[in-house]
Amino acid sequence: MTTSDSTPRGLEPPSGLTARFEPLAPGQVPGFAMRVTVRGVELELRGLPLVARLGGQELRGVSVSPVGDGFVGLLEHTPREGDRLSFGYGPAQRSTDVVFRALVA
Amino acid sequence: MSRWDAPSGTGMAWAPGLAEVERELDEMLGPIDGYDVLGWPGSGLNDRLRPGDLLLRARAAGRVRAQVAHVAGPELHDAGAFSSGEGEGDGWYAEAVWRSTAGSGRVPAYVRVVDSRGRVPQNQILLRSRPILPAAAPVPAAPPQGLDDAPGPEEPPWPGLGTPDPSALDGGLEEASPTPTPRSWELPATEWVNVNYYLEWIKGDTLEYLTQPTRKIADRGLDQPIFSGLPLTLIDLLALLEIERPDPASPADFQMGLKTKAFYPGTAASPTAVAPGGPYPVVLILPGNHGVREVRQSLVTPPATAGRGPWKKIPGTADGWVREILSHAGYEYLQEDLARNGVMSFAISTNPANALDGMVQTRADLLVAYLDLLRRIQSGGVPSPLTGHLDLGRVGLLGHSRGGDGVIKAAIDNARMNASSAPPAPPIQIRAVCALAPTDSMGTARPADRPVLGSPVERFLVVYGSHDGDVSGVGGGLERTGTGFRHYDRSMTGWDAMIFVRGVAHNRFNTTWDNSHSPGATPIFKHGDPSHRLVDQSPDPSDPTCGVAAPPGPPACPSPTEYRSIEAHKALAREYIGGFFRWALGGEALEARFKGEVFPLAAGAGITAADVAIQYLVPTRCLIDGFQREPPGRNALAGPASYTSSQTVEFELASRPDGTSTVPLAPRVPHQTRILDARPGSAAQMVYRTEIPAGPARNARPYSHICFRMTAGFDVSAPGLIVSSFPPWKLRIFTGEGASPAASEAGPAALDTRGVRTPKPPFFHELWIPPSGLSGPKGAVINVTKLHFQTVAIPLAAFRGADLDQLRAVELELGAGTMPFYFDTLCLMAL
Repeated sequence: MTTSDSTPRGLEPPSGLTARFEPLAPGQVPGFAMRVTVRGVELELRGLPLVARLGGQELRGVSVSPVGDGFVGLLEHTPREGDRLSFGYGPAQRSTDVVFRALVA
Repeated sequence: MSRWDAPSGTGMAWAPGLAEVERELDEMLGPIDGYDVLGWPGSGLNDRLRPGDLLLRARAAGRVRAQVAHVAGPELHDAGAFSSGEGEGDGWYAEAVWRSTAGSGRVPAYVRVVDSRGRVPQNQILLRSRPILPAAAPVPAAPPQGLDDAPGPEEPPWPGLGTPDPSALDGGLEEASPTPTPRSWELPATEWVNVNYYLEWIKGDTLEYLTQPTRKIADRGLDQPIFSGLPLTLIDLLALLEIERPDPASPADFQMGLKTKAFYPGTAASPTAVAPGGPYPVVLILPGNHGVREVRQSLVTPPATAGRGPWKKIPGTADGWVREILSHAGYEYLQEDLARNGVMSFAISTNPANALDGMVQTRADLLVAYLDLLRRIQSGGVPSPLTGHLDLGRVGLLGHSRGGDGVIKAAIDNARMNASSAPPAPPIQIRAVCALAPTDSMGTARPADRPVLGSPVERFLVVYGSHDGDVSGVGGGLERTGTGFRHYDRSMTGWDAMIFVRGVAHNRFNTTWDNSHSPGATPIFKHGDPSHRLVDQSPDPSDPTCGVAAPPGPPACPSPTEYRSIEAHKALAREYIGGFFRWALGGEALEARFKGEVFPLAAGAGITAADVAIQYLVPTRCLIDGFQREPPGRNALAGPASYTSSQTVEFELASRPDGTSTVPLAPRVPHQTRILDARPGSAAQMVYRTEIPAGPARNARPYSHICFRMTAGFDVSAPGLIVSSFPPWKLRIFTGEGASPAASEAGPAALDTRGVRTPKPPFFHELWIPPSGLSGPKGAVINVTKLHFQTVAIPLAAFRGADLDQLRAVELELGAGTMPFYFDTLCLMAL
């Protein structure tokens, strides 16, 4: 019998950090303007909750993916152009390359 | 005359053989075929004590036939470890309950089991009820600490103080039940229920704790693919593991899957029968947040492992397998011990909440769903051998980590439901709650939103370790996520206790969680791995990668002895958590350990009394001053309160600037409470004085001790800077009638220091956290050493000449030049 701890082919998390900014229709999630979905990390599910920020605004209701490959959170206000994503547990906040770019028609 | 009648002081030496002892007992009590003799006069014990063992004392001639006590706890304590008045001389004592003909014998006492050399005294014998059916192999005997094999001196039959009044006792020997055999039962199939996920947050400008419930799969992002390139969504994966699934009646919504494994008092004869003597009290065990799945690549079927569910093939992969991590399987050592001691327990899967990263309300609602499952098991709605054997009027909750938050909220919600106009039937009475290394996620919300445990919950216990690397308390008492200190500060059950234990970590209480620092265990994660550094982190010198593998690596390698072993964690859980429920629900006489009077762990357990700091409040008490925003200049009794130093203030401790700057103490203070910050300043001394108003509060007779919580402004920046002593203080009481009450004072030398009551300086601990967050090799250290409160107690008897019928005032005096002294919860207690 042979086993391996390696992640099975096809189950690797996506390489590189990605973030999706999804504007919410008024009332869709009361009190919130945008949903942010971040993928491409490995997170541990633990007692201390993950904290994430976009610029100076903290994401609310942050929840780590069931498989730990990312997280979802909500913003009360649409972020400002160039606001940068950071996240981490407790004081260990990691700044990322992800910045918010508004879609311009 | 029976030799058992030997009068005190005869010096009679009697060293009988076992047969002679049995003949003697036959003569005295009739046939004793149903008992094994554990020890007889002059012998040692031939087995470790167990609850239910019997101690028989020789009769007092002409008055009673014999005295009989049921041993309540297996621990042996030395004579100095418990309250005075029970002592019968040097030796080793056990908690026990004397039996009386009136049947009222539930008075805990300490009975002298063996003398200082480990020999059973001349006037007594120890028996164990013989199981009707073959029992498990006995635990090898462990002699009390410090005993040797030298023959002991003769012991007088009635050696002295504390012997129960013979007139109230007689030979009303009750049959001791055989020790139950732990048996387990598992819910045969996942039960699917509709429980909401709650989006939870504290709104910044109002500090409201807001929740938004949903069962929509899309709201939680469960409709997203698990990884790129696979035709499998998160909900597909969770359904495969039977954690969450689409609701068959409403496919856009999810359902949560309930799984549980119970341990119950069984019999040796039957694998399913419940031992007679029930119904039994019930404990629900809610684990904390943890990963829910493990994936592997396997060329053939991977092996099964304890604490994991069955492997399942991942659709769409050539050789991908996944299985569930069963966090709730990690407490079986505790469950077995509870079952052995007459308490049934259900470890419940919290993975439906873990998979959603749920915070407080999701876990509380999930637990409430399990309470309903208990009702169905009890009624037969769910087929089980446990049907009818649950005592739903005696239920306790244990929550670990985020589960601690969850059980507290669930207990509050359950009480609210029971008091509603449509209460669930039958009602479930949650009487005791234990939070193990809990998070406190709601403590910085506005006060009205903070969960406060109170009646009808009768008892509350927090267990927390100084080396918890997950819920580390980093940031202190003002951080959004707090620790069990804040839960204790808020609790109002009437009987509250918290133990804070040096060297105790977070994960080691759960055998299925990552415990890579365990001696002898194969590390699951090495330093530098993302998962490793998030849990119970301190660089481990036994790990060859410490300081090496991820240059420049962790910055320090503390002694491996700082972390207590997994076995030590288990022993702590058995004695304090198991003991808590056996006491609170099962009625065992184990109360003394929860007010610090005795230390229950055996020598060699890896944790000593010097490692334990305790806070407690017992129901029979009178709070004099809690410094909780009473009107200015008034104490909790509405009496005047004053200080002689302008630098002494009542303050929210965590917000208080330290002695040298304006920086709040918060990072070092885990509490959330207002206190007296006592500083003499430039004066020669500081005196805080508080007056007891006229009335019944002046009668201190119902109480045995005057108590308060204390800590001080220790320098905790390095282990070597933590001084071993507290600032010197004096407590003065004024008693008597008339205009000039008499003063009487006591200082640290008068403290009751039995058990774990000696106040401990801070337990130093540094947490390793990479400054770059979740990636990057460089390590950094954050000092998470805490200034923790602990309760100290001075016997009122130490105040010589005091008239305890008329307590008029209390003063605390501090000398000049000392570090700040933090003082709280001045009260009288009957300990």
